[in-house]
Amino acid sequence: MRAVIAEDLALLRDGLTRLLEGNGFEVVAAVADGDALVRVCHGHKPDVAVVDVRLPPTFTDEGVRAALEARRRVPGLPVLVLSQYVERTFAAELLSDGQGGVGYLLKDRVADPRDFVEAVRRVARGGTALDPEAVSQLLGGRRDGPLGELTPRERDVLALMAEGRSNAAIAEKLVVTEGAVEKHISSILGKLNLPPSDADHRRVLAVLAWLRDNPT
Amino acid sequence: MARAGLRSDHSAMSTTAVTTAVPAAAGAEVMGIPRSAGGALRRLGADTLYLALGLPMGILTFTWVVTGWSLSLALMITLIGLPLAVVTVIVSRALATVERQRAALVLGSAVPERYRRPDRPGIVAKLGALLGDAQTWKDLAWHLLLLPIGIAGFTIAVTTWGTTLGLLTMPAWYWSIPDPGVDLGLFTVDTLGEAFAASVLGLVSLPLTVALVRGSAAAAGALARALLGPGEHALRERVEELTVTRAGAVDAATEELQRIERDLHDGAQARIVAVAMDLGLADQQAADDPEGAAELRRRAQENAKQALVELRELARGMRPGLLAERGLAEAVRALVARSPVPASAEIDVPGRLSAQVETAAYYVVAEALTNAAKHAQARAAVVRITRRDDALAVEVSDDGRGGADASGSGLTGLRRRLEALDGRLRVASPAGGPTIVAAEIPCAP
Repeated sequence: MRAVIAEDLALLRDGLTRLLEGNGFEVVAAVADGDALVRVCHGHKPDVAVVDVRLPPTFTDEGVRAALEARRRVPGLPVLVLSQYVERTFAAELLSDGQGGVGYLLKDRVADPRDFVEAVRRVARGGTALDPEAVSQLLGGRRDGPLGELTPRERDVLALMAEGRSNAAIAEKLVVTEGAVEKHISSILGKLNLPPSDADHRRVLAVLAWLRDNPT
Repeated sequence: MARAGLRSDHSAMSTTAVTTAVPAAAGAEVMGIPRSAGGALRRLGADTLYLALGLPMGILTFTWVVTGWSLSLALMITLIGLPLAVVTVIVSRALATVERQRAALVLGSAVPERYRRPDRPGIVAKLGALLGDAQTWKDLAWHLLLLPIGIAGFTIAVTTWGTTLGLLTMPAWYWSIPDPGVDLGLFTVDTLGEAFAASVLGLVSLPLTVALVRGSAAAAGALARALLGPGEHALRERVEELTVTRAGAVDAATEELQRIERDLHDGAQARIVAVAMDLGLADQQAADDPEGAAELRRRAQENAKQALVELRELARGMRPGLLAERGLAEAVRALVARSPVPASAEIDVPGRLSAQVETAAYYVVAEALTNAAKHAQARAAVVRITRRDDALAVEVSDDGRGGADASGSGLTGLRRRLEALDGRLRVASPAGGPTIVAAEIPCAP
C-alpha cells in the first residue's frame, strides 16, 4: 500500500515513516505542510494520506483543511487525520461529505502499532477509523431520547461501531460471537430508526450522521 | 527631575485605591467625633498643631512661589527663565508633598498625590508633563492661599486657647496683676471669688474654643484635600490607564499561554509520542529484527531524556525555582551564568521584593539576554540592577548589531507585564548597536 505523510515535526514524520514502512506500507512522500500535502496527493494518488491536524503556517486546523482540499482534488482519497486533542467539530467536518475512507485519531494511538496500522488499513480500504475519545464526545452522557433506550451492552456495541470497527472486530473486543453482535446491531439500528446495512462504513456514517443531527 | 518623576509614579500606584481620605484612627472616631476622652484630646492637639503650623508653612510656600514665579516670569525672555520655572515647580511639588503629609493631622491620612507622567521619553515631554499638569497650578493656588489661611488659623488657635486657658487658670495668677486687676468687660477680677467666676467663664468658653479650632482645622483640611488631591479628571485618566494596562496584561498572559502550549506540543509532547511509537514498533520487531528493535529502544530512551530536559526548561521558564527560593539577585546571576552571550551582572538589591516585581525584573533580563544571543549576535552583555528608594531599575546592554524591534512579541509582552505593575520599558537599539533595554518597576520602599 502506498501512503503519504504530512507532519511538520521531523521527529514524528520520521517515526511515522518507520512505523508504516515496518508494517508493509510504501511511504511515497513525507511532507511538512498542507500545500505540499495537496500537491503530493494530486501527484502520487496514494492509497492513504496520514495527516497531522496542526500544520504550518497557522498551526491551528491547517491539516483538516488540507485533508478536505486533497479529498476535493482527488475524490475518494482515504485520509487519516492525527491530532493531539480530539475535537468533535473536526470529526464532523471530515465526515461531512458522507463518503468513506476517513479516519480521525489521537496522536497517542501510534503507541499501539498493531491497532494503529489496522486503522490506517481500514481507512485505506474505504472504512472509517474514529478515535474512541471522539466517539465518547459524540455519545456524551446522553441518556435521553432513543439513546436512552439502548442497553449498556448495546451502547458498547454502538461505540465500537462508531469507531468504524467490523462485526468481527467488535465481537473480538467484547468477547462474544459475531452472531450476537449482529443481533445487537440490528436492535440498535431499529431503536435509532436507521435502515439496516451490510457495508461497515455506510453503517458507521449513518450512525454518525444520526448523532450529528440529534445533538444533545 | 528623575527623582520627582519616580516619586509621582510610585504614589500614583499606591494611592489609586484611596479616593477619599479615611481617617487612620478609624477605630477611635466616628465621622470625626472622638469616642474617648483620650481620642478627643489627641484630636484637639492635632487640630491645634495643624493650625499653628499653617503660619510658618504659609510664609514658606508663599515666599517661595511668589519669588520663584516672579523671577522666572521676569527672566522668561532670557535663557534661565525656563530652568528657573522648572526648579520652582519641582520645589513647589516637594512643598506640596509636605503639605499632603501635614494634612494627615486633620484628615487622618495624607492626601493622595498624583502628578501626570511624561508619556514619552525626552525633555519636551517632561516639560509638558510638568507645566501642563493641572495639579501644578492647583498646588500653586494652595501655596498662595496657605498664607492667609495660616494667619487666620494661627490667630484663631492662639486667641481662643489664650483666652480659655487664661480664664481657667485665673485663680492662680490674678493677684500678680496690679490694680485695678484684670478687666474682663463684664467685671473686673481682683478677688479670689471673682477669679473663680472667671474660671467658670473659661469652662463656658472651652467648648467654643474646641468647636472653633475643630471647625477651622477641618475647613483648612478640606480645602487642602480639594486642591492637593487628585481631581475627578485625574482619577478618570487613571481608570483609563488601568483599563488599558489590564487588557495588556491579560493579552500578555494569553500569549504566554499560547507560547507554552506550542513549546509543549512541539517539544516534550512530540518526543513522548515518538518514544511511545518507537517502543511499540520495537515490540513488534523484537522477534524478527532484534538489532533493529534494540536501536529503536535506544532512540526511545534518548527522546525520553530529551523530553525531560525540555519539560524542565519549560517549568523553569514559567517561574524559575531559584527566583522563588533565593530571590532576584541569585536568579539573575544564574541566568547570566547560563547566558550563551558572555555576560556580567552588577546587582545592588538588598533584601527581597514582591514576587511580581522580582518576576518581572527576571523576565526583562531573560528576554534581553535571549535577544542579545539570538538577534543581536552580541559578544558581551552587562546586566545592572539597582534599587532606588521606590523603584527597581533594570538595565541590560549588549554590544550587538542593534536594530531590535521594540514592537516584537517578546518586548511587547515584557512591556505589558511591566505596565501592569505601573512600570516602564525603554529600548534603545540603533542599527549597528549597542542595544540597551531598561526597565523601571515601582516597588514599595
